[in-house]
Amino acid sequence: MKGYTGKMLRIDLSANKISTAPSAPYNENFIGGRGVGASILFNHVSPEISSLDPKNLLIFGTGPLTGTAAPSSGRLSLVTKNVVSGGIAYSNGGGYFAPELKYAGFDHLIILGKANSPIYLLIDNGKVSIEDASFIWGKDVWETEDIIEDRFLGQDVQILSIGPAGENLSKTACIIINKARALGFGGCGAVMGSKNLKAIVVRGDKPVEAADPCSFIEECRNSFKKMEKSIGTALLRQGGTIAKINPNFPLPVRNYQDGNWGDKALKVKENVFKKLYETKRSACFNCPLSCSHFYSIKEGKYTGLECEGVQINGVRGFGSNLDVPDPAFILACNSLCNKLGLHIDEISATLCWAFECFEKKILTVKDTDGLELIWGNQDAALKLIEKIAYRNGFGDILAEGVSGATKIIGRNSQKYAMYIKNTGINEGGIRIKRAWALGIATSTRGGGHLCGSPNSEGVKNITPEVSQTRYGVSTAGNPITYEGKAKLVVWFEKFKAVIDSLGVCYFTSYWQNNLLGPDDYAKLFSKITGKSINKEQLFKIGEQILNIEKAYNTLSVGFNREDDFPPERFMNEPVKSGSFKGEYIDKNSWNKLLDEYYSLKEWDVKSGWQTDKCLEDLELAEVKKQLEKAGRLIKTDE
Amino acid sequence: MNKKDSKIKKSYERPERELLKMDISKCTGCRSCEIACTYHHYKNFGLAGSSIKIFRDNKNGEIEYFFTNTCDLCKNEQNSLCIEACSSHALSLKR
Repeated sequence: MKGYTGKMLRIDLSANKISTAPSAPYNENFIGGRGVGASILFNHVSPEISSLDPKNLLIFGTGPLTGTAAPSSGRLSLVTKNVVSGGIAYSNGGGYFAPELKYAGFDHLIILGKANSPIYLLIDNGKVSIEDASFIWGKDVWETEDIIEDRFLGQDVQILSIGPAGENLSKTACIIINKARALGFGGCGAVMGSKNLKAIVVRGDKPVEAADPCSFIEECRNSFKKMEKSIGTALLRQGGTIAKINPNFPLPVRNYQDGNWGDKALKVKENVFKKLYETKRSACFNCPLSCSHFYSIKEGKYTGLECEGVQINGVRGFGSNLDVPDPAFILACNSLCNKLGLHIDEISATLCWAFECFEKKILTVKDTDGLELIWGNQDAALKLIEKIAYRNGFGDILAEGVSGATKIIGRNSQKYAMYIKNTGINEGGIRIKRAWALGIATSTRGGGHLCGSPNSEGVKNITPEVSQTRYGVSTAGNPITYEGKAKLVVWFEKFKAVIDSLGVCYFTSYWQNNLLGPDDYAKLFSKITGKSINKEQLFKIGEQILNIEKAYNTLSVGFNREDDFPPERFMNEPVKSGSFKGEYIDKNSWNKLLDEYYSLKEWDVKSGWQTDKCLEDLELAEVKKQLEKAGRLIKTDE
Repeated sequence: MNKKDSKIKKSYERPERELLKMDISKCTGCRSCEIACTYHHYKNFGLAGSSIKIFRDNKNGEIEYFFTNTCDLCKNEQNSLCIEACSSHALSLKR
């Protein structure tokens, strides 16, 4: 099939063995990227092993649109066994690595085993080697990239790597691409560290072929034209995801003690970043959105910092939720995480918990190595981030992530630990936007809004008519109502699974108020591959992917209905101020929402587990068999 | 030797193409022009066949670019494909 290289690269670090295999059997069933990764993980990684066991796999993947003329076609997918939740982890990152991997000749890269000593992988077109990494082990991500670039001068290589956090097996560790793009979720940086794998360097010259190049490029041009007309494109170009921030925009405050930051939000709006620090707009591969920006700080405490970033999760995580309305501090935290290879969301959830525990006197300076974790103490926050990466002192506890840290500390600190399925939460609007919250709570990777949460609630141009036409419910723009929200989440989680498997960015789509919908991606897929597909067929694959992920979680951890609830705080403590004052998640309404969600998915309402009927309809025989064997399949006729 | 100088000088020949101009302050480094150019030459999708080369410094976003002598100003195309593909309007024809 065109659009693919047709090969996957398999590297066994324990056996020092490099091999290739045809990728077509996987691509034909699951498109690419996340879908293929989920399938390989399910079939080849026992749910019983530790995520840091050498038998765990790192499955990097591209999709049929990666590296092509399709808009924003630079996405890299990663699937592995999740260090934080214990179930499945999938992550998706931008930059320039994924197209290069494909140009080097591989759709997917699977790494297993553990090297005897620190190594990096060099993939130069078809030639692959395992190289000594002693000269970069211990270096941060930025130093690592600089040293490797110097070594491969003039060769235009693309690099992904881990920092000290991954080397030290911090559960908050991630993988960084091109210095500032993260494969964030699931402690995947620690999986890389556990394999003694410091970096992957790739370079390639082989182009991607299309089944019908002329009509494919026409379809790409149509997609770009649609995006030019989109509200989402204008907003992202203006200031990335932080362009949405205003005093009425829901932001978490002081570890979710409130859900509104009021006028403090004005201090971290995109126009402030732009005026004070922005030097340049920046884009990922073939992306017209340029939602990223470069910044340079020329005065004050953080003088000399040059970095790329920052997206809204940085503003939430280090701005409002730590209650520091200082854009320079946000940039400092964001870039420190990128340098050390730390996942911003998990770090933020962990820090905010520690600060609130200090406020509530659960933690004292005796616990925190003398650091005064008082809201607004910038130095303490930055010091803690560093300690987490190096597992130094109190940082060794925090390196377990918020769910791990609260278990170690005890002392009723659980009450302030904001996580779902052990995964730290860095979100706004959980008490306000019902589908947003449901998508986070049911996310197969443990948390985060990039599974099933729609981004439409509270967005003015998503009228009931637009909502009905696109999603089959009229309420996508209305945040408060529970009506229609289960159906909306089911729609978006399938859509996202497809996008992650195609190898393009979710920001090009309906999700980010852009104009590309499933029909557009079906056309792009059909024209690059030559295999005709429609929206319904794509969505069926999306549902299959989600069910594989769900089953892996059920087999690994046994997550059930109870694990699909948000932390008590969101149900017991309403928003205290602002235009959404008084809003909270009503437990009865949440229960009904879950009932509806499970019913739509043909899952068992009581347990939240999958049924035989659901898996038969989706033709997932092996998944059904494994669940049945584990006694975790619900029979519908009983 | 300066790192970026060496990176570029190794492979590429000329800083300018007579009829094309680039405003690097607008360039976001997305490489859409390279993909469009490769398509023009080979009807496939990649970077290696492009007559324009973009280098982005991941530290500060600074852009350097070069044209190779294979640029034919999109002979037989209706428009210059690199210019058409550039969403940030960094590329244009010299008048």
